[in-house]
Amino acid sequence: MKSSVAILPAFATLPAVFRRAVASSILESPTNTSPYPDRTLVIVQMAGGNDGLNTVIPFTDGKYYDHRSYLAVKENEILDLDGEVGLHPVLEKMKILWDKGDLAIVQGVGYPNQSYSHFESMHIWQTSDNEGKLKQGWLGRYFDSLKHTQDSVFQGLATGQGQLPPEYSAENYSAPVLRTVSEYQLKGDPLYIGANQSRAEAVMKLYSASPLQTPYGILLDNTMEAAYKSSQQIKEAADQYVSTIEYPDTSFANSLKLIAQAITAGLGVKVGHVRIGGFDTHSDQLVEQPDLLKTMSEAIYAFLQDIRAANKEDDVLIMTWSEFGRRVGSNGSGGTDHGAAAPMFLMGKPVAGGIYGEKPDLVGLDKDNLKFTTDFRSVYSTVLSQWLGADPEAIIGSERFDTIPLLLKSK
Amino acid sequence: MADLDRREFLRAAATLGLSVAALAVFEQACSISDSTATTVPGTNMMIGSNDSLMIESTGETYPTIQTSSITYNSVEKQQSDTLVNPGSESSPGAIDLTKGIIEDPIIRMKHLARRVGFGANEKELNELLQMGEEAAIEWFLNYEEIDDSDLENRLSQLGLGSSMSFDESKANYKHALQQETLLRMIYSKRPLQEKMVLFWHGVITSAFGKVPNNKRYMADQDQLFRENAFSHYDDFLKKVARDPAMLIYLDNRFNKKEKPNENFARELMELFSMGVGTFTELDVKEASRAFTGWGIKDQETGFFPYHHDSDIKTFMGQVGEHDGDDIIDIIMQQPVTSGFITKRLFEFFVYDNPSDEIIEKLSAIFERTRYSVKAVMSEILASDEFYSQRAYRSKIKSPAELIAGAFRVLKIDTDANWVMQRYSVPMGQELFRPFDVSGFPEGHEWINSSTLISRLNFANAFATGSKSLHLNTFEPHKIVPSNFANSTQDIVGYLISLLLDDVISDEEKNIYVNYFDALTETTRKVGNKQWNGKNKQWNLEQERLRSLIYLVMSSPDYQLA
Repeated sequence: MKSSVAILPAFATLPAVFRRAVASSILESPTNTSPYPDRTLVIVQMAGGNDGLNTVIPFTDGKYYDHRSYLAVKENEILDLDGEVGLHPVLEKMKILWDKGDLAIVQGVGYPNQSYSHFESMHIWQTSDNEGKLKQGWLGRYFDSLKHTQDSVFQGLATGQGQLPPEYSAENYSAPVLRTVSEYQLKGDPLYIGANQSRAEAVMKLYSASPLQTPYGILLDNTMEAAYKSSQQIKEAADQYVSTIEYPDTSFANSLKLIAQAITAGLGVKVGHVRIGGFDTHSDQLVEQPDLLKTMSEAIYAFLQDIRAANKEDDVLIMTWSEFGRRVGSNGSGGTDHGAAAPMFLMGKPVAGGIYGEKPDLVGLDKDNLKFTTDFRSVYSTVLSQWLGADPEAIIGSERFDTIPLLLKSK
Repeated sequence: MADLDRREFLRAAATLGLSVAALAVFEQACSISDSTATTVPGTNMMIGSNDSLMIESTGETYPTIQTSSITYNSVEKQQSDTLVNPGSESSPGAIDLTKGIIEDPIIRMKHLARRVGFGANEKELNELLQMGEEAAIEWFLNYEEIDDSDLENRLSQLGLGSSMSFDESKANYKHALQQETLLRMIYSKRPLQEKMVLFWHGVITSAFGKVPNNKRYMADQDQLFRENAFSHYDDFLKKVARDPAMLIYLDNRFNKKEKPNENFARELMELFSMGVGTFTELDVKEASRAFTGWGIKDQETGFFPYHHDSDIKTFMGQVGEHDGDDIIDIIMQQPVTSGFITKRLFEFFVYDNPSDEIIEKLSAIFERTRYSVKAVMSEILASDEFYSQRAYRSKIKSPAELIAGAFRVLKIDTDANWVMQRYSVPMGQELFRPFDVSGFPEGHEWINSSTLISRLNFANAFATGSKSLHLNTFEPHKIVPSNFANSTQDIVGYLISLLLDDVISDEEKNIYVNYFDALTETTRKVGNKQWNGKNKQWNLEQERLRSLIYLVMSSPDYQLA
């Protein structure tokens, strides 16, 4: 008798996510196609925990000035929205959106038993599970619910370098992550261009021949296939893109521009993802937060103009999130520590502009933090059901969350 | 068994929810080869056949010639009961995976060199094999006894290492430090020390950006990690708590009695010692109070008594006038701490999700030696788990490992200037500037479509001798010794054994061979047209070799450590 089972140990160590990917490739793939094939949701992650209280400011509440003292924004500079709350003065562009009815603000968003850890709290937002049991991201589960074809590589487009946003973590779909189009191309051998075609073919053969039983065999094979195809598609999209809109010269704006290119080229982007980091303002908040807010709002404004110029304005919705807000009182180092509830922004023509949820209660605090009044999964449920046409209960989990009427009636 | 059938079966088995044990039955039923088979049936894994990959040497002493075989002794033993028992167990995790051990001494050594360092070149591998495994492990572990002055001289000549002068005129030390670190990974004779520094940097993270680029703080932290990589963990954490880069990165310099700042205290527990969910918010607040008053004065650690809260604190149930060191001592007494740290070490060096039993064993050693990191590492490197089939190729190489390993294994001379920025950053890793305070990932997070493209583009730059990589000596024909350069089988065999351990399937090997052979026939014409004699330096044989090196470095196997 020969040793014949060497395959077992390695295969058996396969992380569940990849093991199931084997199954899913021959399981009948979901037949769901999106009922709104032209729509895109763009996620803007404000990483680090944005100070919501200095973003949407309850300037008529004297307690705000009591708690914030030197960190408080001057009342006469605040961009008044409704006579009760106003935007930070650097958010002029968002005020323009507000005036057009293209900005919806959901106040007091959070979840029960707030975690003050960046990673745990991000994980909760990213998986939509506050018990930390789910591994896949909420958008990953949405992608898994869709039918996958060779032409749907860009269903989830993430911008940046390196890591896939954990929201996108799926069982049988690996979204492209890119910063620029040229970086996202397989380079040829400049000295031997005659070999390039057969070289690329040999690479693809090696990946499909890589043993499935190694822990990462399937991941590598699937990823290479997606990389090869999507790199060609995005190049065509960029080559065809024409726009007169000028974006600010920031990497955040460039990321949004890349998403605009993919959307206007009709690459079938269901969800785009952009991240802006640095909101963890334990110190020097008066300098750092306004810089970030300004960078963010100016890029978003340019993006929406671009989308409008391409006649896609009815089909693009932006949603922001941050893992938590910040402590109501300052910490004495010119900053604020990790907090709880904070506002979310939804932007674009499809929104019904206005303020939703309850204004922050600066008296009834919980451990010096704002209590949440709207569960973030209500907002997720709203965009899933009313924007993407998906079943929120299947994606978020068994618990039902009320939707919020913050989108214009379905078109 | 045809590879295609196997893939189909794997898919079908997975769909049906069949266990891997059932697969074993199938594999066995399908394996019709005789007992002299040189591949493991069903896997196409080469285990020392004498025909294909074995290179008939003509005086060259490249060690893979003697490759014996990987055997899976315990798996064989268990075959009749545990493993081959369809339906009894649908969760593969329940099988004892630690018993399939790599036996081939050469593959064991290469695996060791990749995990405790950045791979071994031919000369290093020969030296290690001559030492024998036990002595080699000791050699890696007792790195402080090794003279590394060649490296230090190399760094000094570039104004790096101890020769780096920190004056305010230089706006940015980030690139210099990244360059230095890559050079250490490539050329150090103390690879395990550098691997430990990489590990600690990924766990106890600080980053340029928040820590000023024009000061020495990050370089000092790097050196702190290097000097204390194997120290007792309580001593180490006490030094980390006083480290200026850390005082800046996690804001403890602003942590004052009047207004405590919780950032350091929280991450100390969550990321550096105990793990999330093992402490309360009260513990965070109380620990923050204990660390008040530690800050920076004249670019050095300073203690400011008037900002320190010396009152009674209750931390983890212990009441006292705790200061920061007391907090660290109490943290070390918590059983979760030993488990947390030893698990991180094990997962970094061996494989993910070790059993509780393994972690309990390592924790006991950790506690018995007053938290000696070296003692734990010594145990790990001597364990069967380290050489298990489950560990083999179970890690994705991090970008720094991938890059440093290429230079190191192929013995290429470089000054590594800007290599981190140009090649590692697009692969998702920037040393001294991790994504966030959770440090670097260690697994599948390294792979997505864009990082994989970047990995292949690095292979391309490397194999084509791109100036952007500062390759001073890349000459393809010198990589493959002349006595191997006579046949495709030899050339492919040599590169595969050097870069991929010889452990690949027939199907994969044939892809290399066919590719290389086809280059002569079909592409010479295209190449000639393109160059059309204008460049007499162009040499088809060299270009074919470059192309093959690219293919090996682009392969899925090469991505694995």
